[in-house]
Amino acid sequence: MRDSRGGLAEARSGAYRLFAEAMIYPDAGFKEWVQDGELVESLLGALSDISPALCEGSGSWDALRDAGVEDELEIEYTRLFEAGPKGPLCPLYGGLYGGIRMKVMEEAARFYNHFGLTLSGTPQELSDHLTTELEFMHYLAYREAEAQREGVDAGPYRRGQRDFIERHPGSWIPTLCIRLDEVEAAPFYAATLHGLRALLEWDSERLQREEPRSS
Amino acid sequence: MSVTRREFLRYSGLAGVSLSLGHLSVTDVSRASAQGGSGLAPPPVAEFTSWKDLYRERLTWDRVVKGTHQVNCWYQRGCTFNVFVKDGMVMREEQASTYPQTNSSVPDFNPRGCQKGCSYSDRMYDGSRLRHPLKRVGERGEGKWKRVSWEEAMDDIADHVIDTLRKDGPRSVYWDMGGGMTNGAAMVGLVRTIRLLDMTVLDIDSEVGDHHPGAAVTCGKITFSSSADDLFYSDLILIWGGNPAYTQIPNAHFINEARYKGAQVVAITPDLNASGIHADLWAPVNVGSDAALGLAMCHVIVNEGLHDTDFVREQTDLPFLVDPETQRFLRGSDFEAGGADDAFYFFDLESQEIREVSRTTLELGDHRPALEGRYEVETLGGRRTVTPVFELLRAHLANYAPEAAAEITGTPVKLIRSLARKIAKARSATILTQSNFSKFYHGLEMERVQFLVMALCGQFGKKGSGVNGFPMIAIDGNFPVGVAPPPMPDLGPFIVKLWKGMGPKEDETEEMFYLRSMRELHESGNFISSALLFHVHGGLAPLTGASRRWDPELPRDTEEYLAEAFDKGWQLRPPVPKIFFSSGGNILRRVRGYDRLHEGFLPKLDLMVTVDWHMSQTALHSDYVLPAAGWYERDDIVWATPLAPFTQATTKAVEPYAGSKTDWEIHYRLMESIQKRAVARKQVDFFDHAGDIRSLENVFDDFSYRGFVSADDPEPLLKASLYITSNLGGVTWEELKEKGYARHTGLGRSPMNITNATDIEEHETITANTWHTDKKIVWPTLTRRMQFFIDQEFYLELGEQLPIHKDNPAIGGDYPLQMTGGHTRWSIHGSWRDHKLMLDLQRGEPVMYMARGDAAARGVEDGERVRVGNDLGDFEVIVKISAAVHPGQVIVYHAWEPYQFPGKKSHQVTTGTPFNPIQMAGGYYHLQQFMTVGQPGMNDRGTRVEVTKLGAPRAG
Ligand code: SF4
Repeated sequence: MRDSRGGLAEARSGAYRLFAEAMIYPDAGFKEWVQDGELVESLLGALSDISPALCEGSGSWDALRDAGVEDELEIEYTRLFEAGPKGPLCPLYGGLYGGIRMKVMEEAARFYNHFGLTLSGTPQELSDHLTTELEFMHYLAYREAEAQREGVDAGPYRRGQRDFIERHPGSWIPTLCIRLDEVEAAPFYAATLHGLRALLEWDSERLQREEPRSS
Repeated sequence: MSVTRREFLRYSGLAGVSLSLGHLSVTDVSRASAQGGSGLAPPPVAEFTSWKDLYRERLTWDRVVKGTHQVNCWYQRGCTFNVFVKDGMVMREEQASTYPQTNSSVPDFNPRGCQKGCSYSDRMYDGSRLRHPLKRVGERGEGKWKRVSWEEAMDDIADHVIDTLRKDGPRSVYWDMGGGMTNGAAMVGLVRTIRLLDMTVLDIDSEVGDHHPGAAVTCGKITFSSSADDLFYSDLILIWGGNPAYTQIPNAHFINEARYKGAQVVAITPDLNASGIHADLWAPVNVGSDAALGLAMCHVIVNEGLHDTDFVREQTDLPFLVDPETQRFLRGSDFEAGGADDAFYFFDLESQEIREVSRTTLELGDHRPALEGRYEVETLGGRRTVTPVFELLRAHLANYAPEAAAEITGTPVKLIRSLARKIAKARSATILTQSNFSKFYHGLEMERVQFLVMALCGQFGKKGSGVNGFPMIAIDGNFPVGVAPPPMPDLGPFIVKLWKGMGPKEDETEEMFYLRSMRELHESGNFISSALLFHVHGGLAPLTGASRRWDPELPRDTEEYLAEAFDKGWQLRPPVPKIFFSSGGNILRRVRGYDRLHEGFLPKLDLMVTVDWHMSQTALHSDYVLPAAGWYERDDIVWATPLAPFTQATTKAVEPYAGSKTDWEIHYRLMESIQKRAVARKQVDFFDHAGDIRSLENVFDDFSYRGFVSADDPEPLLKASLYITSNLGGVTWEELKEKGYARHTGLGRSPMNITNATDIEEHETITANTWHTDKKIVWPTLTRRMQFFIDQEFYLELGEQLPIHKDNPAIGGDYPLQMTGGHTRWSIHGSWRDHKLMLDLQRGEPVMYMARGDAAARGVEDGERVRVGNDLGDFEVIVKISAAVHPGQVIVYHAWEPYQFPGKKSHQVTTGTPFNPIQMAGGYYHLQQFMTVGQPGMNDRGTRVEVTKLGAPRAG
């Protein structure tokens, strides 16, 4: 584990960014990145700096080196996350896993705004998409680390992460993982998202403890 | 992923982490340099105690724009919404409710909207939304896809198109626009593609059963309607062939308001449907027996002398003389060799002479046509006895005494009599009907009879009276923009040229001129009946051609009638399909007997491309699926109906989601690729259908008006369309966009609008067909009257020269239950059929409504799963027991996707959908095929089925 709070936040920021990156559509460069082992090595590096326990079950992490042959990973990504009758099997949008979608999307956007961010990019992704949410976690953790380094109050960032995890990725990633198992998702995605789930749980539990909510 | 990015992402505890944002960006530009870890001080952040802090901001947004839904909600269409945008996303919508009151004596149109439209933002963003172009990588329908770039997709599709244009000819490329038609950029995109490449557009009207064959036969047109607020002038509203509480949600309040004013509302339906429960009177009628009911009412009206003789004499062909022996009108050609076949006669009671009917006016002057009597005439063929159609009708109606009809209809005799008297005595009666009867095998007769009842009672042309045909009104400037040659700014002279030398012939009315233009345009073969395409080339002939299997009274086989219709040019032969673009349609959900298309149609296609925003059943079986932009993600103009006579704008509230594109842009990019690839391959020539050589060298330049319009900004098209529009009060695109809608000020120069045959005044409700009733302008039929006697050969052969009841054949086999359907309350066609919010209001999956007694007899309980089947197929569904359903009837409302059923088979696998040859008739002035009219229809109402209990519904 990194020995300072700033170091921990930095490692978490890196881990969330890598998880976000692992969940983009797999183009040729992406598959090379996976096959060269860069993704898994970076991810395990970050996770071990967060908590070595998050790296356990090293067998399943090996799946993050396997980009399949030919178009396999693209086809699997499309099957799981992109398209299908009634929508894809395992959509990557939090608002589709409970609550009223539009309210979930709106609240996520208001989180972003509160912390000085706005949705952008071409094409723009929606506020409750997994990669947007993870990018936000990456940002908050980054700012937390920065604040700690500079001796500025990092409390708002920490409380932001606490509530954002609880109300957004932490509320639906576990269900997504169950669905992935049900539809026998390719090991790459099953391992990535189970790993993410473990990080979110770890992080959430820690943040709740360290930043208890005043009743 | 680039090498630099890979390096950037590499995690090293020592090197630290860089800030890397893609979907998010820092709002304050002064902080933008903080991205990438520049070492700047962290930006100040507002205190954050908990997520509840965010709710202080809940009612804020970045902007509000106007939007509507470019969906085929037809009769109820036209609702302007305020669309709230936050952070480049639509957050919600609200009915704008700013429509004006036509005048102070009628209720206003507010608030317009339905629950589907009110939840469109949720639908637009739901999980089924397609994000990027997909290419099939497995077998068709296997569900294996991979994302491709637009360029890759377009270039490959363009190569296929070029090959097909050169090898099979342009007409083998079909476009199915389904209900996705607009009156703006999407339409221009399609029109220009089709015209420049000479391709084929599917005319789906008779396939879906919206073709109103009875209106076409009687009135010579199908497109006419009054405004919904005109109902306030009615004192009798007959809901007969529709269910406006489900399908005209924004208009239904006018019915209730008319009722508060004293109108009586009568629902004539087999089931006590959602409209029936709000009526004053429910007249139950057995499924498929509406013609018998109507004829029984005519019997009462005529026998009790309740008919409006002045109206009948002036507006209908009922006084026209007919030879009862030959069952043919007396014509000019009966008196002299080479005499006119469209000169008709009546017996004038004033002069006691036979007189030729006026071809130019309905005004009778001093004449008083006889409705009864027998008259001797000397003809080229000798002395003959002729009689008015009315006299034949009276004899014909003798078969429909209420006592006899009640046996067929199940409607109490007393009720039949009282209904007939009510209609005859009403100050202003109106029939609210929709496209229901077109979906019966004998639907043509049902509609004819409705017109007959109302014509006998003179219930047309008065405020609050009439029968609605197919409602439509649109701006008249869009089509000319679609067909204009480049460069764009020269529209003025082009419009002059477009109409130059065109106009009514000497004895033609304006309506007739436009209808003739439509027929002439149709002859070019760009529009092909989808029902005929699927019959001839789609593997549906064992269904559509099997009419005699269910209707043994039919003298000849369907194929024989069809061959005759093709040979005589009454129907157009569909070219062999090679490429099919589904762009707004969904044939594998929509077409009755769709399951046959898998074997009969898809294997014939070299390429099938679907443009959609979700993975429809058709998309699932396509080679490419191209994601379409949502309705709040595009600038466009949406056509209207006289029911709510406001043309609507939908504006680009946000950028198209993910990789989706507007229809305009998709056409644009396709044409760009076709030109690029043709030039690159040095294969620029092809022969059009007429055998003339065409070039692809500049085809995209022509499409884009030589660069005048860009891919992502169709506003110049919309501005130009409104600039030359003559029937929207001179409204500009900017004004339309700002307000969201504009009321039509006239019918303009448009073949689709003109048949409303009425003037539109700013402060008056709209009443259809007043040009005929008030201005005495003739109707666009052979006899130039509302025509109830048809002496075309198929009509004579099938004994349908006068409106008649024929029993609905046992289509599907000898089974006890009759399956009907209808448009659903919870979706507009397939657009919301699998939308979670709407499914939550129902049973969450396809459902069939069944009468209590029928369910009990089969041991079926509410919510149980059953198998429904007949000789053609079967499907599984859960049952909802309803006291509202007619015994012997089961109802499956329409537009479920097959993939929503267990086994992926929908109720449409049981529909026999045989053509009725009467609808192939032609060669008779107003019985001629043109777009939306005069083609054989597909049908499903009253399909015979049996139901078997399966047990508990599936979990989940
Ligand atoms: S779907 Fe049609 S009827 Fe419903 S709100 Fe939209 S425009 Fe109006």
